[in-house]
Amino acid sequence: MPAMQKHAFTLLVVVLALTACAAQPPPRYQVLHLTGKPYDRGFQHGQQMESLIKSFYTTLLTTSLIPYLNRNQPDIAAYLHTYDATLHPEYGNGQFSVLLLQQSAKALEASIPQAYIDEMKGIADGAHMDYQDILVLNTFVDTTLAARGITYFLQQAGAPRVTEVEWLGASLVGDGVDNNGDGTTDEPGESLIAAYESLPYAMWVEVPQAAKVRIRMHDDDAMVDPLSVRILVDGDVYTQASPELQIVTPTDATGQPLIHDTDVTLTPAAPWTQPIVTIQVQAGDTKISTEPPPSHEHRMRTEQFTLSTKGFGQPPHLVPNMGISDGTSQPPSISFALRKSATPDGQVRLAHHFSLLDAGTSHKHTVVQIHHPDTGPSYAFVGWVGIAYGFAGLNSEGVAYGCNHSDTLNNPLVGEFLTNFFDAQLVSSGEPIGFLLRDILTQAHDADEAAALAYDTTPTFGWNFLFADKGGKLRAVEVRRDVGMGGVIADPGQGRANWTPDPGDAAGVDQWGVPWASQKPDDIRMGAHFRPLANDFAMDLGIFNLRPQRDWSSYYFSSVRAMANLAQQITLNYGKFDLATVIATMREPVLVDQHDSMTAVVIEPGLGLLHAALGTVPATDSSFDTFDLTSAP
Amino acid sequence: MKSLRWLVFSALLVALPARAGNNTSTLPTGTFVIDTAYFDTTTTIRYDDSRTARPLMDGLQRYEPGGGLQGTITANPYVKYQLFVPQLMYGVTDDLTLVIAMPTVVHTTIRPNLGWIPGDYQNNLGRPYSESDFWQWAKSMGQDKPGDFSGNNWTPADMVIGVRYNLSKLKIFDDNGLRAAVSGQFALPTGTPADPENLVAAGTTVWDLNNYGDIELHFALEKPFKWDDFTRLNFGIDLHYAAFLPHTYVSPTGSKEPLLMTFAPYIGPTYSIDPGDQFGGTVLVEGMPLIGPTLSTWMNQHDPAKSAQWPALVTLTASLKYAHVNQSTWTSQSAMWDWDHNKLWLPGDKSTVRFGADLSLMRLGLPLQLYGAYLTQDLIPGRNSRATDVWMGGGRLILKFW
Repeated sequence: MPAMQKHAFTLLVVVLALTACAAQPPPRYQVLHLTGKPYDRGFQHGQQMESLIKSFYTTLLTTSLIPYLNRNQPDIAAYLHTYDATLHPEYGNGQFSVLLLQQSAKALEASIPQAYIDEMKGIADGAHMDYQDILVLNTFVDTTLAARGITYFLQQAGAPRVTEVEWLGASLVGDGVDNNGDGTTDEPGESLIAAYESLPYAMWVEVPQAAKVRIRMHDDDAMVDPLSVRILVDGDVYTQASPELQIVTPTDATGQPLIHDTDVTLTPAAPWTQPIVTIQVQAGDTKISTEPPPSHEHRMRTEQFTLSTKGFGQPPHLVPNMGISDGTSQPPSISFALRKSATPDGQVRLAHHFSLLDAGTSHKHTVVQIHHPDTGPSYAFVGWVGIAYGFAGLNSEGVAYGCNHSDTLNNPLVGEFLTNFFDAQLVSSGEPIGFLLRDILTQAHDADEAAALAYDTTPTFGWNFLFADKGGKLRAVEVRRDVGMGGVIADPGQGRANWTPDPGDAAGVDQWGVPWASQKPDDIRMGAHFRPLANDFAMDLGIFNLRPQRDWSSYYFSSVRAMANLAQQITLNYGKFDLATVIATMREPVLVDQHDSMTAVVIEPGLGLLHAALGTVPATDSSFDTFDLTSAP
Repeated sequence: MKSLRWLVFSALLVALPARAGNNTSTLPTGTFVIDTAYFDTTTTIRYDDSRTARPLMDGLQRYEPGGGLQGTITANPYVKYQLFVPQLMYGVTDDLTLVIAMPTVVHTTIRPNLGWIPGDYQNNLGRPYSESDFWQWAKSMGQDKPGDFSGNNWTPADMVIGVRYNLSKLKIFDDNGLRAAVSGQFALPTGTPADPENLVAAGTTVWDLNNYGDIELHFALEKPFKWDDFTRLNFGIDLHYAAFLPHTYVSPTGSKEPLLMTFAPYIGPTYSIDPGDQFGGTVLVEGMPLIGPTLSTWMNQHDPAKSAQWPALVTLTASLKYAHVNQSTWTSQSAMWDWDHNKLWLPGDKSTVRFGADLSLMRLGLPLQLYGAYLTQDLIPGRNSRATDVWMGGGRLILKFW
């Protein structure tokens, strides 16, 4: 080598040596193969994930959820004296939510089998953390969802609500149609919904295209702020300034103004030409609350109801309340399963997209856990570090599940209130969802057994389960608690639903014989709202009118809409649902929560495969990586 | 006759490229020079991996638990350091010069210039969070809106000790009419790190200034061109390597910024930063448009011929310095947290353009030189680096001469 070239080469080597490599990002998600006894598996988990468990706890709980829940203390303490920090200083100084989570965790621990407690202790020891913190990490979902439901309901209780809707266009009486689906045609009052309730399907059908609708809103302790009223009809927005909208204070029979009521009458300038019309109602009241900050009026949940125009030709229950996608809400958790004629190869496929609480951090802490216990089947699930369960999983028996939350006031925290009233403590009870799901993985041999375990649980909240097995069985289960006044079980056995898409399953169809959640016999789907359990709760306590999920849950309409969109996708692709089509369906924008998506999974129980998309928001933006439960660790 | 043109270590001290034209000079034996300079540096942009100018900080997305995106906190920080840099130089031999510099931060100002991009519609508010809404919300979570930083008043930075050895006598250089020198310097940890608990804060260490290394080596080469037996034009290059040593810092616990700075529970009580070493070169052209009169004064013992080679009255310089910047590496107990920082300090480069002028009064009988310069890293986009603009001015007093 000539000297000059040698020098140049030497210089190049030196320069390369001096140039440090660029830092590389950590893995998008973690994979854990855990073997041995429960404690050992927990210890392996904790030891390998120590830093991530600590960061998950800190970023999700310490700096996000805990201070966030503390903001609701004034609202709750106004009714539950236990949480008044002046009377009970232990709940002051930011300790309200910490104690809330810890006390519930302790109460729920009594329902957790010893094997899982051992595993959590292993996690704590391996990660050098307090067991108490790991217990909170494994139970906060149960507690927080129930507490969130209560605080959200309390906020809604002070806001305006729709009480009455009247069709003022050409009369519906005399059109020869059962417009409101009550089984009677052209009865007097068919144009008036005097006791409004939210519905997953149409309120009226076959209405004239020249529309005029009156919506009455009521606020218990203030007035509706006319400036806050927004009516949306398929992209058109009407406000107080719109000539199409008239906002007045109605009067009673004696001519006295009903100051807590407001009538909003919409007279669109042009006739409705669409076959299905959804009306969205938003309003706030005149009372400004400064707690919790920022200052805000009391806003009602965005309410929406659906009508069909003349010629559509379907009864109300066959006209889904699709809602309006105006960017103000996101799709919730969804799951669906397909088999036989729905798939090109006959394989069973279960898809699950869990969306709840990313808070900018959960997606960084996702993990696929593959357990190989000393005894019993192996199993895998997707979840988060430090947590001993996941909302979707598969065992080596070929049983797969996906589980979604479903808002309900029929939960143990409300049960506490109904038992101890103003001295109640918001302490959860029942079987924590995560360990029920672990029981399913360790005990179920098919979807029937899995459904039976879910059906028989004492739930901590409302849950919607979807099960599939390698034999092709599909099952759906909805559960809620059975709370009643004075702690008495209100309606034993009524808080459960368990059905299949199989023809002939009477539990699988509604009062009109329409399947709850299937398009054909080989598909089934679940959202974050109840179908058979739609009347999950109703109790008028005077100061509170505890209402069913559909009347207050912020997830309800988005879930109804997501399920309707999913139904369309399933119908469209029936018979084509191979893995790629299932994944493509999960990535449909109308089904993806862009901000709180956490995990996305497709499971093929017949093949022992779990395909997981993790580590991004939304999760479906990631590739679906395959894990083979039949392979050795 | 040794040249009485001085080392300018101060140029190294604030991240600013050295003046290659002065990088081969050493002081005559027994000569002292006191040099004081004032630096006014501002940093407002950084260059990303595609050499696009961006604010110094990325937007920070904030989420309502279970309620989606509240919005994005934007920041367009303005960082201003004012420094006073006294130096003492001494000619140990004609070919070996020592220098001690005590950079002192006169004042640091950081204005985060926080803004807000609204996020998702929040049904409970009936609107997306406004900036005011968000900071009310944050306050209810215990987090105040970070304010401006104003501090580091007359706070010492890391002290520098340097040495230069003149190689011009070596045959290879002498035969070719070249001047050459090697220089080295190292920093002593006399600076103060930033308060770990404050989001908007800055210290005075090498890392905070991010401008001169803990250890630096230079090799400079110059080719002077003479007219009428006087150097009127000078071309130079300077190759350098700046090593930054890893340092350990105390982790924020969130005691002041609970939402934004609670890190210690998962990154551990301390973390380290190993700043990326920098290396590259400078090219310089130096012209002397005005040599000026050479008076008969006490300095030249009333013999103007003795001062014929003294610095010109006016010297103008222009230089371009290129520096490759290695990856800066954060190391804590959390790989995730480390990456959140490391990705902002990937390997890159920066180019500094400098324009300077010297006014030497020696020929007029005053042992004083005044100088000023403007340096900018904005003209040529860098990569994964922060761009600083500097105005500087100073003076040198010669305490012994011939």
